[in-house]
Amino acid sequence: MNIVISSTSGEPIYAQIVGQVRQMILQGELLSGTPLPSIRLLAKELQISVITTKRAYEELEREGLINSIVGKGSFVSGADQEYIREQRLRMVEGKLKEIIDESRQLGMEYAELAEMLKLLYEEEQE
Amino acid sequence: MHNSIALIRKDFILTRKFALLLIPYFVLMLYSNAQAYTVFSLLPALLLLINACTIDMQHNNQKFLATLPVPRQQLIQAKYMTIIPLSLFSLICTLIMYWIAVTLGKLDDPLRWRELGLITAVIPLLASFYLPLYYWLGQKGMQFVNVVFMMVIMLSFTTFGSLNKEFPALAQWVQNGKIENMLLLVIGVLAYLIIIYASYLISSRIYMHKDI
Amino acid sequence: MSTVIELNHVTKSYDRFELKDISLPIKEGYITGLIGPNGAGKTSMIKMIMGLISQDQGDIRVFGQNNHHEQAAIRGRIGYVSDESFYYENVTVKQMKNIIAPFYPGWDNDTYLRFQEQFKLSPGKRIKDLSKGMKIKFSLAVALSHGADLLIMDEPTSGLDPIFRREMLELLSEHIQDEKKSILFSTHNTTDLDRIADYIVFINEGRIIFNEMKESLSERYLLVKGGKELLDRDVRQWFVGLRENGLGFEGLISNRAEGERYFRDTAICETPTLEEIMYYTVKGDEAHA
Repeated sequence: MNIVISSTSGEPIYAQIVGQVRQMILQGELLSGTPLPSIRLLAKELQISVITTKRAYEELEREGLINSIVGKGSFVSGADQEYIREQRLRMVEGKLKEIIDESRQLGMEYAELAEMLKLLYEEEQE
Repeated sequence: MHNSIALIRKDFILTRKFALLLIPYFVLMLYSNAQAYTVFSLLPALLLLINACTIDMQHNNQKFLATLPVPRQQLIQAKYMTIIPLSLFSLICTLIMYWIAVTLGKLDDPLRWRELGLITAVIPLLASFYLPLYYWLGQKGMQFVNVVFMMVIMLSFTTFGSLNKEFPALAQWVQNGKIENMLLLVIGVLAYLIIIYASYLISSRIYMHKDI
Repeated sequence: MSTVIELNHVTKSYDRFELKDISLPIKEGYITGLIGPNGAGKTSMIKMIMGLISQDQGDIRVFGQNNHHEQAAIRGRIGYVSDESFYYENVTVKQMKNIIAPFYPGWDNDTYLRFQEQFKLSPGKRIKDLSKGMKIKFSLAVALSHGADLLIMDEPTSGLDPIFRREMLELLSEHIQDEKKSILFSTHNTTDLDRIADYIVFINEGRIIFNEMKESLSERYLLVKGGKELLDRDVRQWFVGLRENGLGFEGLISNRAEGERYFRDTAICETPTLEEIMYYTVKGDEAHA
């Protein structure tokens, strides 16, 4: 497995780790049950702080992508791709709910919000 | 105990070079004034002690000692204990010199062992005056202490000449081994031990909480 | 989470300088960086932890033990590296090693020889003939050879070239692979800590400015760069420290969320480096004083 960290990209380092590991799991590069390097080893290899890698693993665990067993280390979870996708869809749902709440407080209509979403979506694709 | 031995060993490693300088000293003394061989033993031990103390105080070496896993009390203890092997070393050197002098025909009287023993016993006493000053004045005052102390050593050289007048009882013992006043002897020995112990207590008190 | 070093209301006064009521836990199993400008009190603090100087008030515990009552036992478990060499100058590297080794029950000579080789230390060379960097390497080799649970390093990188600095940081990560081992590391060169430090303690003029996870500093502080027209009297108050010139301003805000909300569209918002946090905090302190 390869993880490459950039300290100038502006994206927090823990998020870079989460993103890259998640990608590898979703693309089937890391199979269920594969052991991941320990938190401390990963920190040493990447020459970053232990707390940063710890945070990345906690995040991955929260997403259900990995399991950590005390004394044994962390492994890619047994969840199948379908389950993982579902988990991530649920995350998207959660974030959308937050946005709906926020827009209601601003008194935005649904059409207005949908229009905004459409515009942003197309902008990103370009 | 193990730490004290390691500390004393350290003093010997550090003063090894300096000890070589003592060879010319003994040779010189042998040729110039072999008769006075008994007082020769005083200087080497004290010079080695001063040398070891000076090295310990130079640069940041106090910091080295104070960061070792050894209580400060033990650092002082070891310094006082170093005096014993140093005195013995001095004594042995003097005995070797005496033997050489006899072989060369420069001396023909029997070994004045009582005198030699007495002078060797003075080494810890003089060190007891030196060490508290050393711990008190530290790096800044050390040059001064060393100079003053060297003068004291020189002075004690001459004091032995006037031993007869100042302490007739002691001089008599040195001459023929007769002890006339037992009480005086006991008091003398006690005073000797008390001075050394008091010196140790004073040094401890000064050094225990000193900022380094 | 357990602490390896604990300072409780520690005070120490000098003629012109004072460490004021310092209370500080240092976490076990992590690398803690101690930063601050020269003369901020970093060395005094480390010397107190090592028992080289005594505090006027308060108490210090290392490995849960009082550092005055158990000084020898504590120091046996510490590897200490200082920027100023404190070894005997006239002996060789090998002799010095032989002087040190008997004091540590956990001394591992094979480990020492490995580092001696790795750091290219010649055993026959006199300490006084070593360069500053070499002295620090020797000191590091000693500190890593007796199984120390805690490494305390006072400005260890100051005489080192960038290549060995990197190598040393790697050795430090290696050291804390065992999660019972900890490192306290003082420096004014914060780039050493930007990467590997877990916690940062920042002191200035004898006071602790913060003791935080490095990870959360980037979420707390914001560096703003923009045109001077954005600054009025109220806005200025938000800044911890501010630097203005003819072309604009650059300043540090300690409430990132609020700062971003206000400046997002009008100025450049960045995550500050440790150096920038240090610089603006010290600058701000001077301005308010």
